[in-house]
Amino acid sequence: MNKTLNINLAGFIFHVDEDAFIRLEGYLNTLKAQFVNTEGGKEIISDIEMRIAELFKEQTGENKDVINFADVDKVIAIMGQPEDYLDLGGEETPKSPEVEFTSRKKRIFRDTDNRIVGGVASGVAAYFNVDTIWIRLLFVILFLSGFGFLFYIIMWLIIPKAQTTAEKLQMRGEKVNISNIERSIREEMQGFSNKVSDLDYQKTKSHLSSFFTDLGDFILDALKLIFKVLGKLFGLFFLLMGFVILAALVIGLFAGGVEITGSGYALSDLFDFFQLVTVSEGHYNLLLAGIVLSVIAPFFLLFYFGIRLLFQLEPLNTPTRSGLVLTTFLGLVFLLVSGVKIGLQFDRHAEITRELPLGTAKNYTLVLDSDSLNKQFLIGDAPNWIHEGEMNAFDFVELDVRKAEGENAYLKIYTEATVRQHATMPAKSAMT
Amino acid sequence: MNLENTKAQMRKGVLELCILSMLEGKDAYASDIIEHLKKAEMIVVEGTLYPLLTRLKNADLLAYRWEESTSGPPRKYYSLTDQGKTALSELLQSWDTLVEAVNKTVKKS
Repeated sequence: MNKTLNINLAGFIFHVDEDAFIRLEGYLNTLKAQFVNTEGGKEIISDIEMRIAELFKEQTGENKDVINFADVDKVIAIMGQPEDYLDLGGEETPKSPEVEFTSRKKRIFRDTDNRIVGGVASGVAAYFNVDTIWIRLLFVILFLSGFGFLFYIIMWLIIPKAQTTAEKLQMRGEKVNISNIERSIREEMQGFSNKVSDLDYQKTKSHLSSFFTDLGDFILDALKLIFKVLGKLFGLFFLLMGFVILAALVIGLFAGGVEITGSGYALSDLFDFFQLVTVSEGHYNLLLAGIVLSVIAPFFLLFYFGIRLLFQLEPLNTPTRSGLVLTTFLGLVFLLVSGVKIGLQFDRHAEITRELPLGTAKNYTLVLDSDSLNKQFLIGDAPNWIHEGEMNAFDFVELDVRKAEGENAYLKIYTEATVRQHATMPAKSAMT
Repeated sequence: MNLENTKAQMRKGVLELCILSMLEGKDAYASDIIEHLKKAEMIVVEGTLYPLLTRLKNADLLAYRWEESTSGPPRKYYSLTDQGKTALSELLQSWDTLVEAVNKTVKKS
């Protein structure tokens, strides 16, 4: 007894035995693959299907309803093997089918046809062309050593499943051409019929296999979920960060009064500082514009990736990308120009050095231990602003403890100042 | 050296000439053409012919019309176009020259 399938070939219905159907389908699929890039390929296929229908009609009649395997074989013998279809008379056809379908590049896929868990081991084995048992053994050893499990899961997630025949061939590094595709399809059909006859073996294997597969699928799903949640959390974090920083910048720019928590700097101080180092209003604006322009892109990207991790979002389009590149570039140019200008105007420099024996200075306490040597101490809250009438300066005091060269400890006061060309150096060197 | 391949190449080279000359003065079904060529042992399997017929048709050397069939799907009924006639006479001439040249060469050696 045989199961039959109904097929529609060139508008006619035929009853075909299952094995005969598989053979015929494989044959036609090979031909379709062969003619896919040929001009008029569809027409050729429909001509061929029509002729096959004609031949089937001749073979069936009053006493015979069903097309069997032998009939299909007979038709294929009449029509010829796929190679016979190659139109050698054509100008471009001799080369093109080979070229179009040829790809020797080996790619890694999961071989789910031969899988026990996810088909990773068999895919890797196919890739390196070794027997699967060795890779499985290797994985078992890796599992025992501890990190193999994670490794396997990651590979399972990353490596795609070989789905099409072309992918299955690529997995084995075989040339993807017509006869190889046909052979592979034929093998698959063979495998299909073997499966039916090999039920006992299959049962044992599939018991074990389905347990692992179920377990694997479960773990995979769980991990995917965890990654998803983690991704969303990161996205939220990025989004908040971007938002807070952007908001702080904007508020700082317009209100000038927000203190960035914990740093001891107020944004207004920062703007004062900019005012101090720049020569003119124009210069100041250039510096600010430079800063704003060059921070737009990073914060926008932070924002964007945050949203992207949270929701499905299109990748950035080209105008946006070019815009970001442009703002960053402009910002950096502005910064460079104003930076050079600042550097150029602070060209007056003076130093005073005084030495006092330690005994003479009385109103201070210095506690030293062995750790203090060669350490630097910042004194007071940095930065120290000095606003005295016309004078607006940025003060910075540093204490440096070193081993004395002579026998007596002394205090060396080193004062230096850098000023603009037109400013006068304050003749005071404060010391406490 | 694959002799079978060489023989097949020879046959395939003149296949177009054969098809065009068969259609001269008399239209035919694809299956008639195939039948005839098979008998003459010009082709072994039918598959060879379908891409060739399509290509000749796309090159406007052949035209076809559909004819109903009593025993199966409708069939394509091929005929020679004017362009096909020109091509045929050109190919025939070249074939004659070739036969002559080959005969001369083969007999000499």
